[in-house]
Amino acid sequence: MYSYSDFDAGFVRARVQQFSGQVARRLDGSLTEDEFRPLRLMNGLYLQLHAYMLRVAIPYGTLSPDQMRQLALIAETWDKGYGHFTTRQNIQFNWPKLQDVPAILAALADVEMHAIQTSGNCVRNVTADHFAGAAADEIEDPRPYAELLRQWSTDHPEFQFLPRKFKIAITGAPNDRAVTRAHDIGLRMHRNAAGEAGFEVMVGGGLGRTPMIAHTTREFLPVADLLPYVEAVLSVYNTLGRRDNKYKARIKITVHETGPVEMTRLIEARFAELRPLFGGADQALLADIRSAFAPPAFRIGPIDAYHAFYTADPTFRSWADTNLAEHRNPDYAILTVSLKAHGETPGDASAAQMRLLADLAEKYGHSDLRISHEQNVILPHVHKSDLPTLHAALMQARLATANIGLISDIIACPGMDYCALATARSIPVAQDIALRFEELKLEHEIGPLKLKISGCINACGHHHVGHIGILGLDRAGVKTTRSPWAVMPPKPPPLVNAPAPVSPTTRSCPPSSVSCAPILPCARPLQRRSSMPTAALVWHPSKPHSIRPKAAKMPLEQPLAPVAERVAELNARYRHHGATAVLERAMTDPQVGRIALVSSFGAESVVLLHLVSVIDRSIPVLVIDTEMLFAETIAYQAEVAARLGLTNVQRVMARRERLNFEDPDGTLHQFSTDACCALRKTEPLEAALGQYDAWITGRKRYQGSARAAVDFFEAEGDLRIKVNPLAHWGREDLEDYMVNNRLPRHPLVAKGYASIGCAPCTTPVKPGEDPRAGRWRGTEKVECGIHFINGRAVRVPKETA
Amino acid sequence: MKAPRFTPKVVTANDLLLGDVVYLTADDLWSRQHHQAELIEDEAHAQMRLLHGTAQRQVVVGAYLADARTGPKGPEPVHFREAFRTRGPSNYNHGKQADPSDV
Repeated sequence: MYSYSDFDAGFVRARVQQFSGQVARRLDGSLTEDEFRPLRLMNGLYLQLHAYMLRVAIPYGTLSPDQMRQLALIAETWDKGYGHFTTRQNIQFNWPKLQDVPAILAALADVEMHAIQTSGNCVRNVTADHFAGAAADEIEDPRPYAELLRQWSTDHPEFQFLPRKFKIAITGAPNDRAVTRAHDIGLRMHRNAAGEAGFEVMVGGGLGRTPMIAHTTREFLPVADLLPYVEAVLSVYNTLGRRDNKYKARIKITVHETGPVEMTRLIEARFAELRPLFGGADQALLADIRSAFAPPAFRIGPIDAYHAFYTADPTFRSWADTNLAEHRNPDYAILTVSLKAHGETPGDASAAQMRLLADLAEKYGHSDLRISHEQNVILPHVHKSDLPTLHAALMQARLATANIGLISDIIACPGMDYCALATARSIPVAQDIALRFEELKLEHEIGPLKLKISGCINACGHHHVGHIGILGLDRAGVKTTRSPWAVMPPKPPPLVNAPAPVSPTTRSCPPSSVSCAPILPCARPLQRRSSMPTAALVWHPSKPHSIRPKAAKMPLEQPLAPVAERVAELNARYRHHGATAVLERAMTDPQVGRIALVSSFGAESVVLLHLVSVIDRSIPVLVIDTEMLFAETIAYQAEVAARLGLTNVQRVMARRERLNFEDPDGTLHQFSTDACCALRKTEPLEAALGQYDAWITGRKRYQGSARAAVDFFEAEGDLRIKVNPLAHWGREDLEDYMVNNRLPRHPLVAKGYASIGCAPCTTPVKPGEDPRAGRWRGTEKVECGIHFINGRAVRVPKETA
Repeated sequence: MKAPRFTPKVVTANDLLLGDVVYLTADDLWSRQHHQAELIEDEAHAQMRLLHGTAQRQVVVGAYLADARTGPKGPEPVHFREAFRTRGPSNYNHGKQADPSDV
């Protein structure tokens, strides 16, 4: 493996010296915490829930036995005797003391390791396929390229203050074992038609609160162009990436907002500028690095012992079946040592276990150890005849669990047991699930199944990518861990480059994978005034007049209890639930009754429409057409209805004779906005809602003081229930939801309209204004009247508005 | 709308050297024990105490106000996150639950 040059060694030593001085100055008071914090983060030192935490990089997941022993020594000397391997090929020590950290970093430097760039807005540890250099399907060992990238990115002056952190993953095999599509840059080696090796470059992937699959910006990049191309990507990101909002700062958002086509163009343009500046020094360096990754001298010898044990010993057989992978040398195997013994913490290894693994790697594994993003340790080169001895030795240390790729091989982040960002614990959930399936003895029967657990939406546990993802959330300080979606295909599909199912990131969103499901086109999209109706209700032409919501199809067993009583009960029951649960209940519960959704197709309406469409596309969607709407709104109604496949959109209009009488020339709004709203919105809606027991609205608490106390369920006198599933959503949640589910935006949003009503009474809002400030601007009026209660949906009296 | 009643608070932070969880007591010391913290029932006083805690930059890091309530031994945490901070992780007997005097 790669050995530090004098330059590398000097550089790392200098950093240790520098950080020792910084710690000393923090302790003597000459540095404040605000000054010290960025310095300690640049050296991988975090302050977590119970203590400091030091994150040490394991570049491309490769460790020598000496390095592993040193990690054991650090764990024993300065920590509590164990370390935690993470999903990004790092090891974390959970209990270091501040004054000991310089000594720990010095001990790491002794074995050519460091914690540089394991935090902060820079290029993080470059991760690689953990089977690199051993896998049977590999084109070329990716680690020399990873090492080249590490050297190039370490302390790169241009990329120390990126908009946000930046993660690169690389695989040398067509089968992706490095989650490349969920990285800022993913590099996947393949061959072109001429048989040359090169990289598919994928940009803008990532999990977290806005999970995105990376876009391929270059199908085939010659290996010699790697550095200039990656530098071009970072350069474009450094220029365009947002620095105003840390939740929108990752390159995935840049790609999303710029568009993959434009992004590709910008990268290629920058690449054309940069390419000539790389004069070949990088290739000379790469050649040197490559020689350090030469394959070991494989042993030639009989493997009869392996076959004999395999036949005779069922425990060994079971372990061999799950924990071995095919090696490029048929006499060898790749052994994955599970750090997921049932009931243990996923990814934790004690100092004794680390030492044993180091010894075994030295004796039986050509002195090579790997750490996988799945939080296991790999001995990549094991001669098959050594496997029985190895198995016996591992058994002694509880390291022979035969569960690789099975349900108890769980990826779990540290969660709220350690992490200051977490919203829930994930370790105990993982422990319980593993123990339960061990008791049932079911996991081998179930077969390959990837279960991932994250304790917060930052998704360190990769919960979006897998067969079952569990996200821990905090709702009102009550412990909740829920599986927002769980898909168990009869046969797990390859996780390689397939668009991974994307699960929700904001509270209780439905899986956005649903939005990728075939969406049936609306039988007949809305047409603006195709025939001018005179009735109060315009029924969708394809629907019989008597269409009723689902819940009403079943005869109710008993008459409904009074509205107020049901509302109180529903609110109590759904206090800790989110929008989806509330909607599902509202749309199916006989207690709620016949239900319709009322939508304005305004700036944010598409969120609720999407949530509803996922549950039932045939729910009646009532649209109030005041005949004063923006043309953009009309077009948008058709677009959204078609996109979501809503099959029962009904336009609600005022009766022609009422309009002729009250507002013959369409100018009523100039004299009395209240009277106009009453005529064109409130009365028609009241008439339309007459046949429903409940209606769904998109009202949210953040939408202004008049709505600050909106609850999930509200009584409209004793007439009907009003359901407000989004009551607790904030603007950010809505934004995220629209981005995550790729929902179309109302065209006027881009023009500064934050809340959209009728054309005469809506103006854009300025930054910082209440989003509804643009409605009825210059008047006291804040609500149109359809949302006021007191017995009936009546026009709001001026003084209470 | 009527202003909601002030939820009692304690001032909590992490120790600069060890990183472990500490609580501000009424006599201006930092205790490792939640129940020894000063339970602050007045909003203005809470702000003063937080300022006092934040100012001790050579002793603690990241002081903030956490919700608390009265218990038999003294203040008790309200949110489960704060309850975890009084004990330590669930997977090992480490942290305060192992040795309240040390981390």
